[in-house]
Amino acid sequence: MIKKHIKSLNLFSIISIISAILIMMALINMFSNILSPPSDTWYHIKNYLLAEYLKNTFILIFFTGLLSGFLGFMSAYIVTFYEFKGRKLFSWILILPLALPSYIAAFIYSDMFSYTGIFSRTLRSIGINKYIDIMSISGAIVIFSFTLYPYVYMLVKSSLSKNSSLFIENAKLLKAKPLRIFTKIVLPLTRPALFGGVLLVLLETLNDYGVVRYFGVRVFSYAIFDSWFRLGDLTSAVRLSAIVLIIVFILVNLEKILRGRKKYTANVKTKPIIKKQVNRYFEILIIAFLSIIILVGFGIPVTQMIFNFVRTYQVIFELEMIYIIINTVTISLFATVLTVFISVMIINYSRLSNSKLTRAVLRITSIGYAIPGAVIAVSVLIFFVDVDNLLYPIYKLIDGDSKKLVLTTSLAMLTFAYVIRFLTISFNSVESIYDKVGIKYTEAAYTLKSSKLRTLFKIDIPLIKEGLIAAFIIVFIDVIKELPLTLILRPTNYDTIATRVYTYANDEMIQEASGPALIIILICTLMIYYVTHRKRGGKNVR
Amino acid sequence: MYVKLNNINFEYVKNNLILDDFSLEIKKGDIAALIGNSGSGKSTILRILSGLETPISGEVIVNDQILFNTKISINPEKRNVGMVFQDYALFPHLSVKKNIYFGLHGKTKDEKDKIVNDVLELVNLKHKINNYPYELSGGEQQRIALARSLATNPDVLLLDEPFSNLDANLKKQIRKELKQIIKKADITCIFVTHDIEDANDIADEIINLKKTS
Amino acid sequence: MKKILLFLSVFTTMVILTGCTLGTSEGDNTVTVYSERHYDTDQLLFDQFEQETGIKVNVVKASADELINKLETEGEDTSADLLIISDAGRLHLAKEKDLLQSISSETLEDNIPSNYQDADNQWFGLTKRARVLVYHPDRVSVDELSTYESLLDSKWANRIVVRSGSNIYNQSLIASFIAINGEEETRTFINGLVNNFSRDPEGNDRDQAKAVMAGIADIAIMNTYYMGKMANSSDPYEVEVANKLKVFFPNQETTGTHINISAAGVTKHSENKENAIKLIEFLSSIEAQSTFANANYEYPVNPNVEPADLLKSWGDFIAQDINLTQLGVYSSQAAIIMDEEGWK
Ligand SMILES: Nc1ncnc2c1ncn2[C@@H]1O[C@H](COP(=O)(O)OP(=O)(O)O)[C@@H](O)[C@H]1O
Ligand SMILES: [Fe+2]
Ligand SMILES: [Mg+2]
Repeated sequence: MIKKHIKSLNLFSIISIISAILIMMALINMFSNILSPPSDTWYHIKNYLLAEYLKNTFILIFFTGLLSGFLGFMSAYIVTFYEFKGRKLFSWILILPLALPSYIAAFIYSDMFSYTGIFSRTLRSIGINKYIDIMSISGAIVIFSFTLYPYVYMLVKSSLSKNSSLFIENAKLLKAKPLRIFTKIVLPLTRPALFGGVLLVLLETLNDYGVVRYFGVRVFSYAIFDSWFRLGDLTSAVRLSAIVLIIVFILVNLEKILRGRKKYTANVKTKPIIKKQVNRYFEILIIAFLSIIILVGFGIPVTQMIFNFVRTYQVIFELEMIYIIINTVTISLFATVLTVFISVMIINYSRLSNSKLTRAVLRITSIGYAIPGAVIAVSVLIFFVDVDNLLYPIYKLIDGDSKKLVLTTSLAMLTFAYVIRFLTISFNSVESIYDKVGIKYTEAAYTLKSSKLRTLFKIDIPLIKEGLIAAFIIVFIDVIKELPLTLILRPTNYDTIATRVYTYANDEMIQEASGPALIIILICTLMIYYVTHRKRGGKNVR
Repeated sequence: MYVKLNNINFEYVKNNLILDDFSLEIKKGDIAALIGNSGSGKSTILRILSGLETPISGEVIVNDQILFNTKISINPEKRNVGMVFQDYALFPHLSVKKNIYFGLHGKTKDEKDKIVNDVLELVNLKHKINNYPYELSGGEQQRIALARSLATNPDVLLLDEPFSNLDANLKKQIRKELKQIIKKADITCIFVTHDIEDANDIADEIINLKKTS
Repeated sequence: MKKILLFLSVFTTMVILTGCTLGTSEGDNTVTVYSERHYDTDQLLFDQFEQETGIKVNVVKASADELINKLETEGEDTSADLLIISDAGRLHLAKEKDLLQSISSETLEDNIPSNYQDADNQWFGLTKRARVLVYHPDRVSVDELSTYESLLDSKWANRIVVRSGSNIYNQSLIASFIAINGEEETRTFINGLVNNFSRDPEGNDRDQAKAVMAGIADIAIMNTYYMGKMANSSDPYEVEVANKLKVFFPNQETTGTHINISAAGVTKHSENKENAIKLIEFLSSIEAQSTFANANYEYPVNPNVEPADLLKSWGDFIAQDINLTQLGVYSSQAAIIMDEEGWK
C-alpha cells in the first residue's frame, strides 16, 4: 500500500494534497472556536432565539424541498415523456431561473407586491383593496423554489434519459399501465437524482443570506450574520454554523438511509425515448403549467427589472460600472478556471490510486458546498491573517517596507474562498463525465509511454471536454451570483456586480439595482444558452 | 529468460489475494497464451506486467531490466511494454494516424511517418490512415490497436482477449493474420484467452491459470 | 505543462492588472476615507476639497460592519485615515475596538454642537436624521399623536409597523431610551409596542411607509430621510406615497425626538492625520454642509446651515438631549432586551 503512494507522488497528488491541507487548515482554525467556553451571548441566543431559528429553518427547508422537488420533477418528466408544441424551447428555458439570483428575485417581487408595486396597484384599480404579503416565510419558500428548482429539473431530466431504455423495455412489459410504470420504475430509478437535486436546492437555501434578511425570516444564515455583526460574537456564530453543518449532514445522508442497501444505478445503453403525443386539452394544460413556472421563476421579475432599468439606465452607463463588470468577469473566470483545474487534479489523483489518504482528500475538498458562505468567509479571513503574520518576514525580505497583510488585502483570499465553496460542484460534473468515459483511454496512453501530464492534455481533456465545459459554466454562474463570500472577503474598493446590486437594494434603491442585476442575468442566460445549444463534439466518443 | 514474473502477490481489495505467489517465464520471441477461467486473474497479470497495477510483493523483469521489486517500481509510461486492450481503447477523438503518432512522441515527423507507414503496411490497413476509430469495423480497430502498440517497438506485447469481441467466422481468419503479423514483427508476445483452441493455434507455449482462491 | 503555465500566467497578469488599475494609488498628499456613504454629491465635495487644498481623496465604500471589520484586521497596516459611518452606535463600537484616535480642532468645536461629538473627540457628527412617526392623515389625526411612549395605548393595537429589531436604527432608538428612561421602563415600552404591531417586522423603512399607505397599519416608525428619498424617487408611485403621508416628530413636549448621525473619525493608525482633520473640518463647514446633508435628505449638524426645503416643510423639532455616545454605550444591552421582549 505504501508503494502505491510513492508511485502516485506526481502533479495530481501534490496539488490534491496541498489543496486538502489548505482547506482543512482554514476550516479547523474556525471550528476550534467551538471548544472555547460559550459566551453570555450564546446563552442569550439559546434562551431567546434558537428555538425560532430551528423552527423557521425546518419549515423553510421542508417546504422548499417539497415545492422545488415537485416543480423540477414534474417539468423534467413532462419534457422527457410528452411531445407538445414548444417542447424544445421549454426544455432549455426551464433552466433559466438559475440565471436569476434568489436575492434579486426577492427584492423585485417584494417591490412588485408592495403598496406601490404593480400587483397591488392592479388589484386596487379593479377595486380589490387587498394586500398580499410576500415578505414572510411562505414568500421565501416560493422564491427559493421557483428560482432553484432547475437543479432538480436538470438532474432528473438527465437521469430519465440515461435510464431511457429501461423505461421502454418495461413499458412493453407493463403495457398500458402508466401509473405502475411511474411508481414502480420511473420514481425509484430517478429518486437519487431527485434527492440530489433537492439537496442542492436546500444547500443553496441554507447558504442564502439576502432573501431571509430582507424578508425578516430568522433562519440560521441570518442568525450567523446577526450574532457576528449585531451581537459582535464570533464564537456564537461558529456554534450556530456547527448546527447548520449537522443539519446538512443529516440531509446528505437522508437519501442513503431511505434507500437502504438497494442500488438503483442501471448502466445500460441510452435509446431515444419515443415521446407520447398528447391531445389538445392536455397540451394546453402542459404548456400552461410550464409557462407559469418559467414566468414566476424568470419572466415576470425580469420584465419588471427591464421596466425599472428604463427609468434608471444611467446607473449602468458609468465608467465605474465598466470597471465593475471587468472585475466581476475577471475574478469569476479566474476562480472558475482554478476550481475546475483543481477538481480535475483531485479526480485524477483519486482515479489512479485508492487509499485512505485519497478518500480523506476527497472528503475534505468536497465539504465546502455544504458550509454556508458566511462561515467559509470567517474561516478564510482568520486563516489568511495568520498566514500573513507567518509570511511577514519574507515580505520584508522582498520589500523593506512591505505591509503585513499582503494576501489578506488581495484577491487571493476571495479566490481561495470561491474555490473551497464551489469545488464540490465542479467535482460532480467532472466526475460524472470521467465515469462515462472510463479509465481505459488513460491507461492505454500510459502503455504508449505517454507521461501523466501529456495524457491529461492530449487524451483526458479532449475526451472530458463536455464535462469540463459544463463544470466551468455551472461554477461560473455560481461565482458570479455569489454574495456572502464576496461581501466579506473582497479587497478594498473591489466591487462585483453582485455586491453592487446588493448595495443598491440595501439602500432601498430597487430601481437602481435592476440595471446591474440584469447584467448578471444576461451573462448567466447567455451561458445557459451556450451549454444547451452547443453542438456535441463531432467525433463520436464510444 | 526474457519475461519473468517471480512470486507475485496481488490483491485489489485488502485480504483478498487474486494472485498468490504467482510466477511465469517466457522465452524471447515466443508467443505465449495465458489461459484460464473468467475471473482467474489473466487481465490482472497483463496489468501488472504493463505497470497499471502494483503487486504487494514479487518481482517483474523484462529483457533483464527490473521493472518491479520491493525497492523499484517503474511507472507504466517508462516501461517498454506494449498492450492491446480488450476493447482496443483507440482514442476516439484522434484519427488512425494520430492514434499511432501518439505513442511516437519525441521522434521527428519523418521518423513518425515512416513508422506509421510500416506498421499500417504490416496490418494491411494503409488505406484507413485518415479514418476515425468509429469508422472502422471491430477487426480493423483491433489491427490498428495492434499497430499502435507495435509502433512503439516494445520489448513485449500484451494482448487481452484479442478474439473475444469478434464473431466466430471472422475469428479463424483473424487468428491466422494475427500470428503472421506477430511473427513478422518478430516480437515477444503474451495473449490472454479463455479458449484452448486459440491457444493451440497460435501459441508457442501455454500457461494455464488455475483460480487461486 | 506549457499550457498550464500559459493559462496561469495569463490569468494572474489579468488579476494583477485589474488590481493595479482599480486599486488606490498612494501619493504623498492624500487622505483615504472608509465611507459607508455612496452618493455622487460626496464625490463632488471631495473634488472641491482637492481643488482647495491640493489633497487627493481616495474613497473606499462598503457597509459599516465591513469597514469596521476591515480596519480591525488591517491593524497598523491600514491605509484608512478617516472613517465615515451613518450611526453613532457603530462609531462607538469602532472607538471601543480602539480603531480611532482623539483629535483637537477649534474649527470642529465651533461648527459641531458638543452633543454630536464623541466625549473624547474621537468622532464628529456631520449630518443628522430623526426617527419619527409617519402616519396616514385620513386615518390618524395629528392631535392623537404625542410621544413614542403613547404608542403603547390600546387604541393603537394592530396599527403600528416598524422594521426588524435587529436593524441598527431600532437598536439605537432603544439604546437612547435606555439612556433616558433606564432599562425597566424601556422593557415595558418594547413589550407594549410589540403588542401593538400590526404584523411581524419585515422589509426596510420604505416598506413600512408603503404598509401604512396600503392600510396594513396607520403609523410607521422610520427615518426622516426615507421620506425625502421617496419624494425624489425614480418610481412615480413612491413619490405619491411620500406626498400623501405625514411626518410627526414625537416627544416634543418631553424628551425630544430620537436622532442619529453620520459621523467621521480619524483612524488610530492614520498616516495622514492632518489631512484627515482638514477633510472633517471642510465637511463641517458652511459651504459643504448643505450639499453633504442634502445628498441623503438629512439635517446638517452645523447650526448655521439651513436644512433643505422639504425638510423645513416638516417643521422644526427638538431632539433628544443626550450625548450620542450613549447610543453606543447601550447598544448591545438594547439588542439583548429587544430579543428578550420579543421584538423580532
Ligand atoms: N478493479 C478491481 N477491483 C476489485 N476487484 C477486481 C478489479 N478488477 C478485477 N477484479 C477481480 O479480480 C479477479 C481477477 O480479475 P481479472 O484479472 O480481470 O480476471 P480475468 O481477466 O481472468 O477474467 C476477479 O475476481 C475480479 O473480480
Ligand atoms: Fe438607511
Ligand atoms: Mg480479463
